[in-house]
Formats: sequence, C-alpha cells, structure tokens
Amino acid sequence: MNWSILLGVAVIAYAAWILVRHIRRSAKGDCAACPYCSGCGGDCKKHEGGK
Amino acid sequence: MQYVFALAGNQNSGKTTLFNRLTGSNQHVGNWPGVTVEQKTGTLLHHHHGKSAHVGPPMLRRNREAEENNDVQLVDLPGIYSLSPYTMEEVVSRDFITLQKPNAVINIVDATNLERNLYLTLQLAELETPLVVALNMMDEVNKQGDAIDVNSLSEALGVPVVPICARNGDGLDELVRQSMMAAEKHILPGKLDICSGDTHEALHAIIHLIEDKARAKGLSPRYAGTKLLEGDEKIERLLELDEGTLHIIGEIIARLEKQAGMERAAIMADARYTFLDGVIKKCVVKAQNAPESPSARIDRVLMHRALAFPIFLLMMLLVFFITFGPFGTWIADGFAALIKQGISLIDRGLTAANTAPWVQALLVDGVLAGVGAVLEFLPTIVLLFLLLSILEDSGYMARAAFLMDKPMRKLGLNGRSFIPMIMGFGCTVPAVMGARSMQSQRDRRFTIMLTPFMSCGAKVPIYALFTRAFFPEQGVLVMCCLYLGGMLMAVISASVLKKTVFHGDAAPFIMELPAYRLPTLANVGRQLWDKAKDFLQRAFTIILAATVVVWFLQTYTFRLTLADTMEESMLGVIGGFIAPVFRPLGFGSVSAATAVITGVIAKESVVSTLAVLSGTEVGSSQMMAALHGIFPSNLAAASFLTFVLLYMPCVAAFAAMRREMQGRGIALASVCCQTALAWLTALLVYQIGGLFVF
Repeated sequence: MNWSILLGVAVIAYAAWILVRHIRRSAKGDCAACPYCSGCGGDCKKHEGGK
Repeated sequence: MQYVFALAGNQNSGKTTLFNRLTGSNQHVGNWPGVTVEQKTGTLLHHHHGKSAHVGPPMLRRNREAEENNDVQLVDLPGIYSLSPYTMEEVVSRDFITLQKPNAVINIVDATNLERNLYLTLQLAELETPLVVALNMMDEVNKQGDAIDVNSLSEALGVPVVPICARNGDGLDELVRQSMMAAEKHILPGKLDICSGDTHEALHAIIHLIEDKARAKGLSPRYAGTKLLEGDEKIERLLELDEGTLHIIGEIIARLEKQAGMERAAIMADARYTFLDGVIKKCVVKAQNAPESPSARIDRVLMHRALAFPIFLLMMLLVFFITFGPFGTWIADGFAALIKQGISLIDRGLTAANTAPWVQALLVDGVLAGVGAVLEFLPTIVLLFLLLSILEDSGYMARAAFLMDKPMRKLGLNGRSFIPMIMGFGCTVPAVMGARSMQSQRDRRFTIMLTPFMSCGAKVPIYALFTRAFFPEQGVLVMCCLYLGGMLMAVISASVLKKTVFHGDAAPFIMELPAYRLPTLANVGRQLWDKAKDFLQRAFTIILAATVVVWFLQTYTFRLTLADTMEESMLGVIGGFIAPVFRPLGFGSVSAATAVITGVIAKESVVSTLAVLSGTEVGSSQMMAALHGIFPSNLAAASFLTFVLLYMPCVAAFAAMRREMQGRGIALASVCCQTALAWLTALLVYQIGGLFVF
C-alpha cells in the first residue's frame, strides 16, 4: 500500500513540476509546447538554457 | 584555442544541411528559402577536424560526446543575399560577422547559381575576416554538364574555394582543413578591385576620410566605405562622423551619381555584377546544347497557368485522403487497439499489486486515459507530416508560395506570407518566427495575425477524434473543410484588416525557386523522428500534467473531499461559471467548457480532458457514446470543431506572437479578436445549421 501512495504522490509532484516549467517557458515564447521543438528554425535551445 | 566559424550564404544554398553534416545536429532542413531565421550554434565533429583519418559519410550521433571537438564552434546564420540590412535575417547575419568577429567565415555558395551567390561573397571578402568559399551542389553542376574551374575561381576571388556536396558529405574534410588553416594563420581575402574609373576614385576618397573612425569601431575601412557609398544609415550612425565629413561624403556621392547616371546603391551593385560577369566567363563552362533541366520540365506542368491551382488542391486532397481515409484509419485503429490492451494490462497489474484505490484511479482514469487518448493519434500525426515533409523536401512547397503570391497580393500580403502559413500547419510558434523573413513590420504583423488560423499539428488529434465519433463516413471531407475553413477565415480576416488596420500594399515578393530534388530518406526520416519524438515528449509531459490537474479537479471538492457528483467537484463549480458562454454554440456542458480551457495550455489537452471526463476506455465505443452525451448532436460537434479551429492559440504561440509583434497590446488584441471571431463563427454554424438539420 505504501509504495503505491508514494507512486501517486510522485505522479502528482511530477505533473506540478511539468506544469510550472511549461508555463514559465511558454511565457518566454519558447517552444516547450511546440511539436517542431527539436528541429524548428527558431532558436529554442538557446532560450531553454542552452541545452 | 577555441575557434568560431560562421556559416553564411544565400537562402536555400544548403547551409543548414552543411551545418547538420559538420556538427551532427538535427536542425530542420527545408527545400525552400528562409528555413533558418536565427543563428544556431554547434560543435564541429572531431572526424571533420582533420585529427582523425575517417573518410566518408559523417557518423552522426554515434559516440557523439567522444567525437565532439570543443575547439571549433560553428554558427549557422540565416540566409542572406547581401550585407545591407533590409530584413531582420540580414541584420542578424551581418551583426554576427562584423561585431562578433568569427575566426573564419565559410561562405556556402550554390554552384548552380554562381553569379547571384557570389554577389554576397564579394561583400564578405571586404570584411577583413578569413573567408573560405564552399562550392555546394557540385553534383548538380556535373549533372547539368557544366564545368567550373575551381582554381581560376579561387584566384579571381582571392579566397580558397572548395567544391563540396553537403547532401552526401563530399569535400567536407577539405573544407574544414582549409577553414582551419585560414583561421589559424589568419589568412585574409586578397584585395579585389571591383570598381573602375569614377567609382574607384569616389570609394578611395571615402575610405580615406573614414579610415580612422572605421578602425576605431573595429570595421574594415573598405567595407565601411562601400556601405557609406551605398547609403547604409546604420554604418553612418555607427561611425559617428562629424558634419563636415558627412558633407564631403555627400558631395563625393552626388558627383558620382551624376557621372554614373544612376542611384548610389545601384552603382555598387552594377560594379559587383560587372566584375562577376567577367569571373563567370573566365571560370565557368556551360554545357553546349544543354537539355532543359528536369525542374523546368516538371514546372511546365505543375506551374501551368491553368493547371497549377487544381494540382495544388489535388495534392492537398491526396494528403488528407491518405492520412484520414481508409488507410490512415486502419493504421490508427490498430494502434488504438494496442494502447487499449496496454492500459488494460497495467490496470490488471495495479489491481493485482493491491494499489491504493485513489492511486489506481489517478493512474488509470487520469493519466492513462488522458495520455492514451492523445497517443492514439501518433500514427495519424506521423503519416500527415511524412507526406507534408515529402512535399516540402521536394521543393514543391516553395512553388506553392510562388503560386499564392497573386491571390495573397489582392489581400494586401505577398507570397512570402504563405511560407509562415504553411509552417503553421506544423506549429504556430516557428511559423510566427518565420515571419521574420519579411521586410516590413506591416507585413510581419499582418502575417503573424493570420498564422494561428492555420490548423497546427496539435489540433489533428481533436479533429481525428471528432470525425471518428461524429462523422465516420465523411472523415476526409470534414478534414478538408477544417483546413480550408481556417484558410478561408484567414482570407476574410485579411480583407478586413487590409481595409482597417494594415492599409497599403505589401512589399514586392522576390523568391528564388529551388530545384526539384528527390526527398532524401535521411532528411524525411529525421523530420519524422523529430515529430514522433516531440509528440511523445509532449504526451508524457504537458498532456500528462494537464490530465492530472483535470482528474484532480474532477475528483475532489474545494474541501478536498471526494466529490460524489460532477457538480460538486471543483471542476463542476468552475465549469459552471464558464459553460453558459458556450450554451448558444450548442456545447454548454462543463466537460466541453473545461476542454476548451485546457486547450489553451496545449491543444491536445482537449482530447485528454474529454477522455478523463468521460471516464471511459481509450478509443472504446463507450468513449464515443460519452462524447455524444457531451455534444448532443452532430451540429454541436461541428460547432465545437469550428470554435477549436479558430479560437486563440496556445500560450506558447501567444508568447511568440507577443515577442515577434514587438507589442503585448497588439498580440493581446489579436488573440481576443480571434477568440471572438471563433465564438461568432461557431454560433453561426450552430444556429444557421439548426435551420437545416432537425
């Protein structure tokens, strides 16, 4: 039972983190939400911390 | 020592292909001009650096960490035709070369169109930066039966010239070797005297006057002098010349214009083209009785005055038929069945492992139902973009832009606006950024306002779900209506905007049509891989997060107790406030209203939200029945699709619009108007449709 509760909490924490990250990136106009992300002509990577 | 090489050249000369080859990157390559709108940086792969004996095609990706050589950074600049700052791309490229001062510039030149490409080379040679010319597409030159005397060309231009073929990697090791040598030994281009007579004298007089100022600003006096002669205001401001000097320069130029009988900018262009004419005559041997090129032969049919438009429409229809017709549906159904089985297996596993009920509900009814509903459309997305990337890679899409110039001009736009719009079928964010290639702010803003009307890839799962649930027999027709409907709305909006906000005519549209090329497996495969990877990434990040939020809001009340009914839940209360807005449109339920709101985060969330709220299995007949409960009639579903097609883009696209339009107010006004238009159009569809459908 305990491991499953941990799993549930982990999923919720992950979702919260993703949501905050997404909104932060979107606010800068980055391509976090863009299906073309890795191959687009825009300089997404630079805005996303030079990954 | 770390070196920086800039990659500069005309649009569609193969810069990004070369960049990908040399760095092992995965940047989007398109057979149309203007794919690159900002500079991109990559590290030169070790085996190209001359320290390894590897010969042959680059070993992309494999042991990339080990292969990378941090000594050389390669910067891919947007395509430019000159160093005069007419467009934002030219400003980006010129500023990088003149201000950042790379150790060497690799000027990639389309060998099939030498004269126009070398126009930029002559300007780059004035910059006092080591320069190497990469003569690309030599395979096509050979195929045409032409010959280029590379040694004579190198001698005439005063720079090393290396024949290459970026597509298959020929000549790249030699190119890197020459570039390294030029950078290490700081070999500057030889001095070229392209002007004669009066222009020569005038240019020398100007250079003499500004030499100290130019050196102080880190500019080559020759470059600065030429730009002043051409009337470049940016350089004039940068040099901070005093009134007296400016007056003398004005006098020199006025006299020269009188002597030459032409305007100042034209004098230098004329001098460059006259010089290049001589170079071409000396170095290029054209094939005798050369047959008409394959591109010209294909264009005689595809760009035929009467047939071009019907062929274009037919092509688009074929794309939709393959994607959403029986073949596409068969693949999608098979994949949906697989996902369904996977979810069922996980559900049974969780039950067997005695998982806490709320965790099981979160995972199965929330995460798996929502993410699974979106994943189901992976084959549809991949198939659609496979076909579009083949059209793009072949060079046909550039023709489509050319074809659209005339109708676009009537709307106050030009054919160039069509390129961002086509890109909008993929994603609105790069499409909005693609509008940078337009010269005037009017054209840029105008195009950006219309781009969100194009159906982006993220909307495809919504369309596919609804056609399957409500219009299974008319799938292709509904898809065509949605895509064409978006374009039609863009046309109507453009007509209104031209008469109200954006008066005047668009800037002239000049675009070079690329040669038709067989799409390469590597490029198409790379694009498809990107598409599938990004789709999966989105499904397991933002879609998953949105799904969890919707599940949480639907399951609990504001007191964080389990909600017995939908109305008691947080979602029920919030949705209860918003839903009435959509009642006149035929979909006033809490579920539909919630789906619309989550769609602002990411459009696919509409599908995952509906899946979670319906509480049924992915792709099941129960889900279809639940959708019929949320949307009581086909007309309500059509009205919902119309609203989703036209309402505001996702937050990322809005932020890109705000940045590119250089104004929060105009971007906000744009999306508000768009949403109002979506509401009105959906209202018309529902209310007028109601008169005909019982």
